Amino acid sequence: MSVLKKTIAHRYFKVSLLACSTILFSAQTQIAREYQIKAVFLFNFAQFVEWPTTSFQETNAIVIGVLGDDPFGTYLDEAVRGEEVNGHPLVVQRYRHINDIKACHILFINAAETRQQVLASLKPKSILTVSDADNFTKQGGMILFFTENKKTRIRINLNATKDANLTISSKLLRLAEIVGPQKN
Amino acid sequence: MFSKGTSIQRKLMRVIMVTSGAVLLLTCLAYFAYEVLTFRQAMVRQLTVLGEIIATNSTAALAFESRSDAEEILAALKAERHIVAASLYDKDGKLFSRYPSDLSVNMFPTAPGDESYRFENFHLVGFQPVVQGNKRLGTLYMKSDYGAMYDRLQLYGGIALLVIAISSLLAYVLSKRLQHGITKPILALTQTAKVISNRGDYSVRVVKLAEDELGVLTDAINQMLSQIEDQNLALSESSARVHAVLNSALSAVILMDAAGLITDWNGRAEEIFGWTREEAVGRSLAETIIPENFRVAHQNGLKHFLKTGEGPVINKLIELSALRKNGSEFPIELSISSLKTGNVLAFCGFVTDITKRKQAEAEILSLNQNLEQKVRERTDQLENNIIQLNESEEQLKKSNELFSKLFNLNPAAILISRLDNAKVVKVNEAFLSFFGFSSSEEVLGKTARELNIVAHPEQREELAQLLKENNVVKDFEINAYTKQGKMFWISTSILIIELENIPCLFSISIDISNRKGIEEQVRAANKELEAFSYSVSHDLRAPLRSIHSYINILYEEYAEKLDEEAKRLINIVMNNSKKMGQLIDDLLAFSRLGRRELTMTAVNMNSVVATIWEDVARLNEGNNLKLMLSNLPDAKADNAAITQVWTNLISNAVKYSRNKEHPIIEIGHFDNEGTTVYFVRDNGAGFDMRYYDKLFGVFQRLHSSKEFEGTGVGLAIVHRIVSRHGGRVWAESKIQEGTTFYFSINGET
Repeated sequence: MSVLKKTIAHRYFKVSLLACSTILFSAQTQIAREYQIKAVFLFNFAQFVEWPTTSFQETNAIVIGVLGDDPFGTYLDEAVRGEEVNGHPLVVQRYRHINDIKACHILFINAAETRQQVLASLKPKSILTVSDADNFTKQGGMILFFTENKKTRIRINLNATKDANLTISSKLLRLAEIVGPQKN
Repeated sequence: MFSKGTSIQRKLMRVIMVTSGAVLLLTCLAYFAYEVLTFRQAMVRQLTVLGEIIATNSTAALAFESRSDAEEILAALKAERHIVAASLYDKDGKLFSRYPSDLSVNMFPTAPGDESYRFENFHLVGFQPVVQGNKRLGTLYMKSDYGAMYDRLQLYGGIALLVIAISSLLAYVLSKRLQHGITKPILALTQTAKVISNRGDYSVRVVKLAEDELGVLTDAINQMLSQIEDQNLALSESSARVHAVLNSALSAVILMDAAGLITDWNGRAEEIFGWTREEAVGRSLAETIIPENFRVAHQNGLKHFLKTGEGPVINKLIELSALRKNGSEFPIELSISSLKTGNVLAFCGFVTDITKRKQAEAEILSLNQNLEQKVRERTDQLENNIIQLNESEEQLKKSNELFSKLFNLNPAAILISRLDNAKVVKVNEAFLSFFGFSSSEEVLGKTARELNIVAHPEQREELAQLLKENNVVKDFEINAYTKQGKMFWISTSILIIELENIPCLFSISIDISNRKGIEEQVRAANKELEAFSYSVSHDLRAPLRSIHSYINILYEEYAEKLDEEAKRLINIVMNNSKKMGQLIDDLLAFSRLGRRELTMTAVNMNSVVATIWEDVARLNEGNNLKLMLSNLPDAKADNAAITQVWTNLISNAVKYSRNKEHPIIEIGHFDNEGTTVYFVRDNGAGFDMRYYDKLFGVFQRLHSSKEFEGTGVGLAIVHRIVSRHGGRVWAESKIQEGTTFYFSINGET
């Protein structure tokens, strides 16, 4: 709960920061820069992760979805604009509700969402779940963004990716922290 | 590549070694070059591959901006130590990470360059894109040194060296073995050639060791040796002939080369100049035989000839002065000819010593001068003589007149007859009167034999013989006949003269008939005397013998009746009668000598003396008598008479030296002007030379009978016998020192 409270507080803080952007310009920029990187990282995941071919039955494009509030602003769109990976064009979709999700390959789950439910519902689908919420990997999430020494780092739950039939490039794995899945 | 003295064995070895070495070296070099070339390509390829791996691995690091990871990936290059630097640039071209991480940023390119590899400053550098899928994520930069290549080349170099060393060793061993087939026959050839050249022995033959080209060469050399041997033989014969000719040449023969050095020198040259051949050969001719003041001219002449081929002295006979070894100069006659054999020019000089000729010439010159002088003197003399001749003609005339007078008026008979035909040419008045001829016409043109003037042909023969032997006869006594047949004695002397250029016998005779008559009378008187004394002696012996017999009887029959005085007196009578008997015997012997005819034979004086000495020695045993007898020549004499002479002289010598402690009698002879003189010398009592006249008289004695017994007949007999032999006897003596008797006999008498 403390994480939630913290996130909320953080969120509020962020909102207030945005509201008072003229006053707290530097702090605002700091956060913006962080999500810009995370946006690029989301796009880069497309390059280092392989989906089963069944994932492309509904659409040829690799769909990057954002569930809940979108923290990236325009960064994500900018990051994927005009890009394609292995012949798959990149598309960004934003979902308000879990049920909105149809064909999706990479899903960024906002920390504010009730993740355990979401994750449970997504389980049979080959969707790479990403979030910057604490304990995300412990909860069965696949990739967690965390900050270490002011640098954005990645933690990967390999059991989760395996269960989702996703193959993650070893190159990506060497950059990331690997954790086992949290069995509930 | 090879020094001149390198043996074929070594040369062959070196050829093989150098060839194989060069091939190996070239192979290795080619391999190196190939290696270098291919290795650069391989390096680029390797680096590219390595880059690909790094690039591929570093895509995530670039994508997720993980510098540490990027550095980790680059650090993996540590395994490849030749990568000296590497770096990653992000997609914006900014340096993202670097290796080695402690290397200064300045050492890396600030921005990526061309995406290819190139060699720069001994390094291979290049850029490679880092792509994920087809998304460009950044650029990789890498820099590698040549170390790998060097390592590789080093390894290859080592191997190459090893290969070369082993190959060389192998080549050395193999070539050493294999070259025997070639070098052994060559070495054998060389050895033989050395033997031949060292010993000059061309009879040696090379043993053929193979049937290849060397075998052919061996055969060819052996054949050549045979030819050389033949040629040498021919050459040495020919050269010996030439030398014999040169050495027996009467002229000195000198060979000289173009440099003016003597190359040959014959025996005559040795004699003339005093230099032996060994000394002369190799010397400069100019310094050897040419006097100092001519040397420059000689050398200039030689130079001129060598330059132009012309010489004033070539092939001409010239006379000049030459030098002997002892420094003396003498004249020679010299002819020089140039000899060209092949390209070698030489000179041959024939030299004759003309010292004698020059002397002869000088002598002739001086003789001629003398002759002229003499002719002049003679002419002068003759002129004088002609004047004198006129005077002498006058004298001759006078002399002839004188001769004519002497000839005609000479009391001796003179006959001149030709020597060749014995015909009488001239006789004088005395001759005509001696021989009872009325005129000279009866005599002239006839021979003495025809004139029948010599009584006994044997006397004429003797005369002719004497004349033949001595060319002159003096006082030869012959019987001659007058025309009327009356015989008379003449003494004639004959000599050979030249009368009007004809050899003639000149005989001059005097009538000695009167003298001969007197001589005959004396001889007859002597004979009578001898006969008388013989008969007296003979008649005296008979009464003496009876006196001796009776006194003997008296002494023996009446001895006891006689007193001592009577006996003494009788003894005196007996001794004196004995002595008288001896005297009569001697006298008889002496007078018998005058009557006996002498028979002349060759008498061996040695045996005569030896026989006598035997008797004398026997009679005088114990007298310490010593005889010195030298060899005596034979003589023509009456053996018995001459034996008597020796007996008497030797007995005398023994008798008169018997009082001496060491009586020595010496018998010998010497030659006195062609006459043999015998002598008997003693060291006895001797006599006073004042009484020499009495020495040879009959019954004359110089010592008393008491001192030395004897009758005084012995030396008289000696004198008589020697005189009858036409000889002479004489003596020399000194009292108490000894006497020497000499005698000579003329065997012809």
